[in-house]
Amino acid sequence: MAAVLEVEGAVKGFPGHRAVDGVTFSVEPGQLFALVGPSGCGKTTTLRMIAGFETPDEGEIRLRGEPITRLPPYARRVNTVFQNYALFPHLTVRGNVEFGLRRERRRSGAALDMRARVDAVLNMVRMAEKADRRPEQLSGGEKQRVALARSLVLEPDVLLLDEPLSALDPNLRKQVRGELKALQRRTGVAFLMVTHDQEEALSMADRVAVMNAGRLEQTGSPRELYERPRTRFVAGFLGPVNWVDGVGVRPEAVRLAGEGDGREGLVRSAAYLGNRVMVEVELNGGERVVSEVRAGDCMCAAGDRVRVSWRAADEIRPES
Amino acid sequence: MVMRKWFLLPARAVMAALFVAPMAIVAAYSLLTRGAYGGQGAPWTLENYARLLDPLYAGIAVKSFWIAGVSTAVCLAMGFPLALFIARARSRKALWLGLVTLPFWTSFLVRTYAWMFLLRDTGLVNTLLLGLGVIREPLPLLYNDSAVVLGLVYGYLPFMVLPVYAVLEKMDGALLEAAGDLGARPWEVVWRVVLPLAKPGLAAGGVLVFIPCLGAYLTPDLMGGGKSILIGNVIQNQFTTARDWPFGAALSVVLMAMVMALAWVARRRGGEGGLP
Repeated sequence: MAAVLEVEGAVKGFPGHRAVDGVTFSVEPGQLFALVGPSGCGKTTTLRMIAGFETPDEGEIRLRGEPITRLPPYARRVNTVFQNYALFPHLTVRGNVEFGLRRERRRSGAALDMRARVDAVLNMVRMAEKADRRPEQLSGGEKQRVALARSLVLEPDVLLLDEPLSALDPNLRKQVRGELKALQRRTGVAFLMVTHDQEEALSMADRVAVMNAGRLEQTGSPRELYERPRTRFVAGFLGPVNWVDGVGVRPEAVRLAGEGDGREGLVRSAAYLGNRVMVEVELNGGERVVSEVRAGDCMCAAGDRVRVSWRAADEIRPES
Repeated sequence: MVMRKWFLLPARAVMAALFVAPMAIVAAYSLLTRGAYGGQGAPWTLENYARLLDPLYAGIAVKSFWIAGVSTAVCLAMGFPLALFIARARSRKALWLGLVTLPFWTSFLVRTYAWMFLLRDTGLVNTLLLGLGVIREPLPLLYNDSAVVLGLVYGYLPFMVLPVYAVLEKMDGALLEAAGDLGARPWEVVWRVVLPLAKPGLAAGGVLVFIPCLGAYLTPDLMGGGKSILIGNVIQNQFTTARDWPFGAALSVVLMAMVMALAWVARRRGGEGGLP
């Protein structure tokens, strides 16, 4: 399938530093693609170049095969859901959703049933009853749904989402993850989401690209990245890792036993977390290993002697 | 909050002494009769208000509103882009704002005379144009209505720029990006997002410019050259040359009532924060 969006060798420098340093990736139609990395890694700048708010110093951006690198934002069939949603405070929910359509109606000249389209998209995000409210009267989650509706009504080739969940109440975030993904599936629009939260990226995206210091470290499915990270950075960014003799192993893959095979160690601490226990073991060589075990599987307490082992298949061997 | 009452006391005292009391005096004078040699006294009368019905004064009122309206419109047209430019400037905001308020550093009278030196028949502009051979006779730049509007716009433009700037400065830049993202061309962004958001500032600026323009007497007197008589000049005349204080007071009361009615309308239409 031809990619709907391609970013090729994008470079963007600001006075003093290179925010984006040669980034290449592509998004397939209907895909939920997550660009994840620590703050300052260049992911938001990458998104802004695709939206047209920044112009790359080098490289090319293509939408459905057509170069859009130097087009102004209004000429791109790409829409953005902003981090703080950026709803127009002087317009109602309906007015916000109509904003882009008015333009379209004028351009096409055809009599376009604007009201029906707005109603349909407001129903889809469950905001039809609040169509006459002003943004200031909405909760964070409702604002987000209006921002989504405002963009989706224009049927963009790609919807860009800048940290879509960060402005929400933490309790709401997990629920909205599922809703957002369901919306993406229903509309079939390709989503490109920027986030600093690796759990968000892994749980929502079909494909994830991990960025660090302006470069893409690795791109792949969430599972590939988590289980077969190519760099130590990717391994560590996506979840905790124990590094033993240059080999990584996730805490949940570390098995503890009273006796048998494996390396000998001394339990330093055991933190009970309800459904699981985090056990920190000091190996005889002095290295420390954290093991995450189900609460029923471990009776160990600080001071116990244990055997530590893991399957070779669970080992992470980064190239760098 | 028993203390609140005491904190407000100085402001209340000032308002009562310097605003309410003089207004009451003006209102009282407007009901007196003019004495034979100036001065005023009994009997109480509404005669001064009846004199206002003379079409002469209606014409002057219409002209005053027209001049003040045109001046306000020009201030809006010039002040909005300037305020937007300063609010969106990435650096040197303080410098631009300083330049806007710079004229306040000298007296308004001096600045008005400076304009007259520039515009009169033997002024800088005409001398230059004559010297360059662009024109043969001096252009009538001074002593007409346009000169009055120029003087008023020059004098009151900062009162438009500052409130509009204050509103636009608080505007979230992401809104402009969002509008562009949704397909709006730059001019549409201004028309459909910036202008509506600037409305409270424009309303406040409009009132701050229109009201002093309506009562202005110095600028029309000096730059209009006596040909352009506005309400302010008539009032001034009654208190000085004509020595008819009761009639001047009646004019002042009517002008004040009109201004208050306008301010009230602007406040209702501008919504919250519409007026300082």
